[in-house]
Amino acid sequence: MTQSMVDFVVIGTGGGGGTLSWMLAKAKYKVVVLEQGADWSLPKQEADRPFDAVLHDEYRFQQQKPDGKRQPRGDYNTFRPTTGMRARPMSSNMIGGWSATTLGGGSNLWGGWAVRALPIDFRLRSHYAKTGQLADFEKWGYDVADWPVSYDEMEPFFNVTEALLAVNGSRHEMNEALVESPWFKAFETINPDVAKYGHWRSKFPYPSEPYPQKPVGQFFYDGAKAAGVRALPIPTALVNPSLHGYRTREELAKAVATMDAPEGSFWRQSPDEMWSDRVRAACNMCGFCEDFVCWGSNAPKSGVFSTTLVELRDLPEYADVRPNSKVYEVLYDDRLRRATGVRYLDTTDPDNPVQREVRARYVVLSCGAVQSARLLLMSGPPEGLGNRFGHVGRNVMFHLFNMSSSVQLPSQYQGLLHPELGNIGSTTSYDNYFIPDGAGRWWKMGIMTAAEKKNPLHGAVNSLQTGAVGLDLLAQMDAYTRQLDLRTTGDDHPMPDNRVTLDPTYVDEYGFPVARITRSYGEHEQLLFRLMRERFREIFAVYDKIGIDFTLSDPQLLTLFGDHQMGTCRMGDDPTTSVLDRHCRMHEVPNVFVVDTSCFPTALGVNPMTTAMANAMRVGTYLINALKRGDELA
Amino acid sequence: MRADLADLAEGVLPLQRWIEHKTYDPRADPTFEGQPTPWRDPGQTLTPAKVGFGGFFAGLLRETSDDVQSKARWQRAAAAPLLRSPLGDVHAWRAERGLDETATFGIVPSQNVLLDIQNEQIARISFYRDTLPDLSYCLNVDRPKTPAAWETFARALLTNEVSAWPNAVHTSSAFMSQFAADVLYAVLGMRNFSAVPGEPAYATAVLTELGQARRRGNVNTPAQAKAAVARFLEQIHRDMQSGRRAV
Repeated sequence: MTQSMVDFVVIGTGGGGGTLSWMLAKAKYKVVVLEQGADWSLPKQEADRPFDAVLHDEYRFQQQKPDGKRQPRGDYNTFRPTTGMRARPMSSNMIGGWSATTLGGGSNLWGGWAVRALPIDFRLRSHYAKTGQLADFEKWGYDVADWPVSYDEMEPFFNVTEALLAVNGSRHEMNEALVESPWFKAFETINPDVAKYGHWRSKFPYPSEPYPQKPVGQFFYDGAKAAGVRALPIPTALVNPSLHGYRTREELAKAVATMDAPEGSFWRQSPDEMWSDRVRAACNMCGFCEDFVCWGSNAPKSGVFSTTLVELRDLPEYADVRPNSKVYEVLYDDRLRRATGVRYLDTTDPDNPVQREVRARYVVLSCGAVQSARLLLMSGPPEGLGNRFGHVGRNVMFHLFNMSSSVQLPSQYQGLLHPELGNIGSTTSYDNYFIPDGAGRWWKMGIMTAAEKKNPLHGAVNSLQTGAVGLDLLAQMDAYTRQLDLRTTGDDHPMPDNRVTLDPTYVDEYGFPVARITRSYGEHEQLLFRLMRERFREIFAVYDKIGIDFTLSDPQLLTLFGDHQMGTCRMGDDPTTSVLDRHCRMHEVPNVFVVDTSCFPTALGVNPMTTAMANAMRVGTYLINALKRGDELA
Repeated sequence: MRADLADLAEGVLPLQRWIEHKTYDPRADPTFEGQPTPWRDPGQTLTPAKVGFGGFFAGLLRETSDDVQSKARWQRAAAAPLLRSPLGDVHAWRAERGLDETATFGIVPSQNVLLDIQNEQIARISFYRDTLPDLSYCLNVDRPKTPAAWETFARALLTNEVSAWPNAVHTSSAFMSQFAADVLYAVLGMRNFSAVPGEPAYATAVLTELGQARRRGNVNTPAQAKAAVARFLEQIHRDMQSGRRAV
């Protein structure tokens, strides 16, 4: 076991940890960054390396079990729908809750839909109190909370995040989509406070024009238009194919200029000090990113793996990034009420792991909402670290990915959808961010986005599992190429009984209890499923003439929930009802921070990566400023 | 056995009969304009063997051969789930956290390893070592004579309806499910190489016939996307005008 003493140890390299690590090292703090997965992408991003066509194979990447794309070797979660039931290991039929186990974490494997939380997402409890719906939620067992921070506090960090991620989009269309939406207009009467929850009309332009439109996105756009539903290009985190490269430093400078940063603060560095002169390559629209590592040379797909983690390599005297490091304990001094470091297994040789220890002044967790809760529950006193009030792990939320529909086009459309062109999805809609129930009340849903069927092998193997073989199998493979999905990032409201705990029975390969997810749908989710049925149908009604086959997913499939995971370490001002304070610091252990999506009090109705990164920057700004001032953080 | 596996792969995917009957023809698709489709030339045929199934399958067996070791490792972990814990007294640690005294290693039910259809962990190389003699035995009893008969045979294997299949560890359905998945992986996974000398296009023939332009090393452009949208809209417009229904 080796020991060293550093300022910070950061566990997890996704959007939160990867972003904060960069800020801390840039501010000249010594940081050890631990990632349980391997480094699968950085070696392929060197500009002087040729594009490697042999590696350009997502099937192999996904199927290389047991080192699968989301499951670390020997690891898994268990699941049960209600308290009192025995949990079973989550199988491949149960989508959701996985941790992206690679350097860069979820920001490496995400689909790249870079969408901000909206002002109302930070004030959902206040909003429901105004509309009179809060009583319904409480009766149904929900604990909907406001965020302790506002959209306006987050806004400059959203700008910086979008600059880092080279986001493609149309700000004008986005602003119009929000303030001209049916729900926003309805709220002008129902709850006029909504307009004051934050800046609804951002003035910060996206760094790049919208990503090129594709057939599936156009199909959705036209169908929505015919139904009177507004659609727009989904903001996408890729270097736009029409650019001759992306100069992050220049775009970052524009975003930082929107900040009201005091003299001497982190954000007052000159652009040259803050960022290198690296130029990222434009996306070549190869079509292989979906939710996999980008194999493109010189990082066209955005994430911390292509931005902040690359910059960290310029700071070897401050940052020590260690892949294959599986942390199993946050060390805790009960007398001082402080964390003192972490213990982990170096799994470079997974058959012969080596125990190691890092001593640090501050510990930062960013393992994803499921695994951060698991690690806290495995650490400290028997009830878990910072868990005196039993809130760690509670209110876990996953987006309602099973609330979706599929369209099958007739045979004359074979070869016309071209799912191979670029990333997944190009068109979204905010019109159903809230949906009316016909009784004057609006319920929170989220964005609705069209998506290509990218991967014919997946479709073929699924057909095989239905017993199809021979010409039947080939007919299904043909049909698959004419399918598309309409997906929702449906909000999942917090319920204390939906939680992550340590599984009492099941363990991973090193004998540690795996995370047990207890999760059921409440009345709100059931209501959404009912209300959305007609919403899906109306989008494609105009195409009835051409004979499309339209199917809705089975909303009762509780096993299909999103990989997006939020909650478990709620951020709030009251130590008796939340785990973290507004700076994402544990109320009970003041030198421990959690900067992934665990801190989210509510789940938004958009993909969480942009908000996670912006929030990590907000926390980093606080930390660095406080340390610089000499404030006693602990 | 190689020839038998090639025939069985053709039973799984009777590519030649498929392209003889399907309506989509990549030669009429501007996406593939100028690209060779030699399997559609007069006198030519398309089979999984020509697409490179044989070489891919052999390589797949080689590269996954260490699954045998990992399978043994998981079996050891299942037999003693807490043995590898780095904690000083793992039983006391579990007890104070209210966890069960006994633990279970759940990698197999979590499907985080290669499983057969009965959810039993397998390693490809030993799996085929066990099942290929069974296949061989069935073929000795009653060998299919035509491509259509091979398809019927593949379906019967998949549904456990081949009476000659020995009462062995693995059912014929388990064998066929894995074999068919590997055939699909070979013809759609883009790691295969054409088995027809001088005709590399065979490697991606199935994708081409599906109308899929997914390729390793793809480089596409906004102009291509724009053209694709235009062609798509043109078809929709035609169908909307004529009220054309599903074909």
